[in-house]
Amino acid sequence: MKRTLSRMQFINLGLLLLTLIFIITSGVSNAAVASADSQEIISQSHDGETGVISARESNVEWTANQQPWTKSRMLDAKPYPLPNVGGLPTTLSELPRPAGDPIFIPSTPPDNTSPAFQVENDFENLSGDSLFGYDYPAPFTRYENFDDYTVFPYSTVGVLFFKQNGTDYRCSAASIGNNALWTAGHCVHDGSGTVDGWSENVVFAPAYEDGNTPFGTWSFYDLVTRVAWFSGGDFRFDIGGVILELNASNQTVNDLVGSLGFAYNLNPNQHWFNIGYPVDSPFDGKSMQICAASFARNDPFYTSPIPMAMGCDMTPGSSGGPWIINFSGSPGNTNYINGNNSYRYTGLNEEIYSPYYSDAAKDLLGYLSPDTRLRTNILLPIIKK
Amino acid sequence: MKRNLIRISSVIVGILLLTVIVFALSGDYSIAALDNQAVAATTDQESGNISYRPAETLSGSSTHTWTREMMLAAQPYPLEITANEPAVSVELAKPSGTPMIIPGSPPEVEQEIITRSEETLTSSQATLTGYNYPPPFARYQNFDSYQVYPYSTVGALFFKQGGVPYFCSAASIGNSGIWTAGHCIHKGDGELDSGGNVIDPGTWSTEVVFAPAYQNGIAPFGVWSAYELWITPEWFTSEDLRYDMGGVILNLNGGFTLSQIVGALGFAYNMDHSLHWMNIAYPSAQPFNGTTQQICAGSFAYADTSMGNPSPVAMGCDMTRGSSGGPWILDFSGSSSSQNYLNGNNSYRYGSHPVELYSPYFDSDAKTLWDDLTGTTN
Repeated sequence: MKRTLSRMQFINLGLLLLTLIFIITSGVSNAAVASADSQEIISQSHDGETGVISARESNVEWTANQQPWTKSRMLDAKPYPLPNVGGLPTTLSELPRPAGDPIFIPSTPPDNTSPAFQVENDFENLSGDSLFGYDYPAPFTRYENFDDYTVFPYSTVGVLFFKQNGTDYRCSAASIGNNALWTAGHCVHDGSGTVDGWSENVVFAPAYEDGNTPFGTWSFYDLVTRVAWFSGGDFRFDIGGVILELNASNQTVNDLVGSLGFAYNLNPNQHWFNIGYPVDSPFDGKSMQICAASFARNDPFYTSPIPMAMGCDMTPGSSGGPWIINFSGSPGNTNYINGNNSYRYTGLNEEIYSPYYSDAAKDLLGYLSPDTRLRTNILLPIIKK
Repeated sequence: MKRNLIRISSVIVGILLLTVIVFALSGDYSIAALDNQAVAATTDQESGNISYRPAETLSGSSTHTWTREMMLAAQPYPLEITANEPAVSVELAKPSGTPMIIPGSPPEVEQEIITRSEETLTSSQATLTGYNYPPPFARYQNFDSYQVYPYSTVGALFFKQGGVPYFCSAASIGNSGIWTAGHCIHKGDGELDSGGNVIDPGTWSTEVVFAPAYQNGIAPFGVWSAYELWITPEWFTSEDLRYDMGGVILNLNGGFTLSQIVGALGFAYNMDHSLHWMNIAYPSAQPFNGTTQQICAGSFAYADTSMGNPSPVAMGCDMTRGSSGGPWILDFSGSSSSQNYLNGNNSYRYGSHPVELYSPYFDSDAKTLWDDLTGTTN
């Protein structure tokens, strides 16, 4: 039964419900069924209404049968290629106004309680309707973080180590509360449309510095992305989420590092702090790099939601790094994730694109959040050890 | 060492001697200082910039102190201008000069003057640049240690103008220099003759002290007093906002130059306008209180062509009064290797546009002021 399910792709709600029943009835007890196999995806769920698709690891404990992420293995992991797209974007265009209201979800400090998500809609969006922007190359500032990495909000950003199609890779990711991470879709699935394309053996090291993990690491429990990314690698939906297991001390990642907020349906005329861990030259993957820049331009090759570019010279390894608006050292109505490093055009090494965050991003966030206001319908329950 | 860098013309030496004699005879420090403003203000015939040595420089001893209470009570210098709207354009006239950058330096390192050629700086010029009002930006309170370079180079400038205690922002350059807005140095009411010589000294700022990395009323590195004030001739005579730039050469403090303790920013000028700056200052008017370092990050939004050439440049920023003179930094970095180029300073804003700030455009004229403040001759 388990074996059969592991290779099936559920593509309708009926099968989703079946999976729910399976998980609920067999779920935690399966943890005792330790096999000699490496970590396996035992269930894949597709929600046809919200368009998100997820894969859950087996409940096998993080034990000796699992190849551990040692310091040296982390250092050897390859940067996940920052997808290079052919052609040259040449035009600027105005982005259509999103259908939904701009929504802001606050960031939270490190603490011992799971953060309560709030939905806010009282933000005064200062940006005008008309925008200019910059053709390539757009201006930006990029610097290595020279503050303490364990200080909020730097603490929320880290390296995501994983294996995909047999290769050890690394991306960047950020804590968004409820023991969940936000990253690029291509860091959780290769976009091939197959079950085999899911990342495996995923661990998160927040505030990773010089090969050290000041807060330790968290291993994954559940991966999620948009179906459009899963099935066809659509860069408009190159967003992904990871639900983590508690660490050995029964702590969530949020307990120790806090979480970023989240904002979507905004006017794209924003200024972002983009934090990632680029690996390829001139970087070495051991330091947190920060790009600060405003909206540069849209990608004219896409229809809505149109990916947007900011000036930034980070290299592969930075995939999934958060684009933060209202950057601040204080949690609260600050530090909203509003983009993530997704792709760049070949030869244009000083700009990076992110998906535009619309309701499609909200639905993915809803999967990662217990807040019912973010959820179109109830998906899999969040299970903690 | 620092003194060697300062060009002391024979004229100034003569004035210095004369003034000392006047002091000695009068025995009244403050009155003597006021009486001697006319002779103490001097024009650099090469650059056209005007310098002024405060009474305490001439007498060799300081008679004023800035207590913590006085610092906290100082008024933020006004920033707003009354015109309703700027005349904006995303097109900025290309400067005639070559783009040049001079690297910054961390503390205890003697600043090495390196100029780079245009080739290393000029990327392909973007065809469509900038933003409508309100331009996007991020503004946050510095949550790192203020004593870390380059935050350490930015501080509060305390002074009096017309007897009123004021407050601006400024930044370390060169060895003993600081850069700030012209209006923090002089009221713009001076008069020059056709040869650029001072006829009426107008109103110089007095009792000028700089407190780098100032935080919550504390000056962690102490305060540096003024040795010599510098201002552009355009600001000196007519408050020309295109030249709202000034600076101070500071005395040693405990035997150290400012940059030995806090480091120095670099300098960049004649740049194209596709730039992103980190703007660091101490806004004091609501909602700020003047005791914290605030940082605006933003890109070139547009040029204010109503001022003529060189048109001042705007970036998105919601800092308030007190931020005057705060540096606009290109290639912001904590690295000890170069970067951190000073390329603008908070100068003015329009009353109708509360979330943008303007800076003079830094061209070759700005560089002459930098030269006068840092003792560089080329």
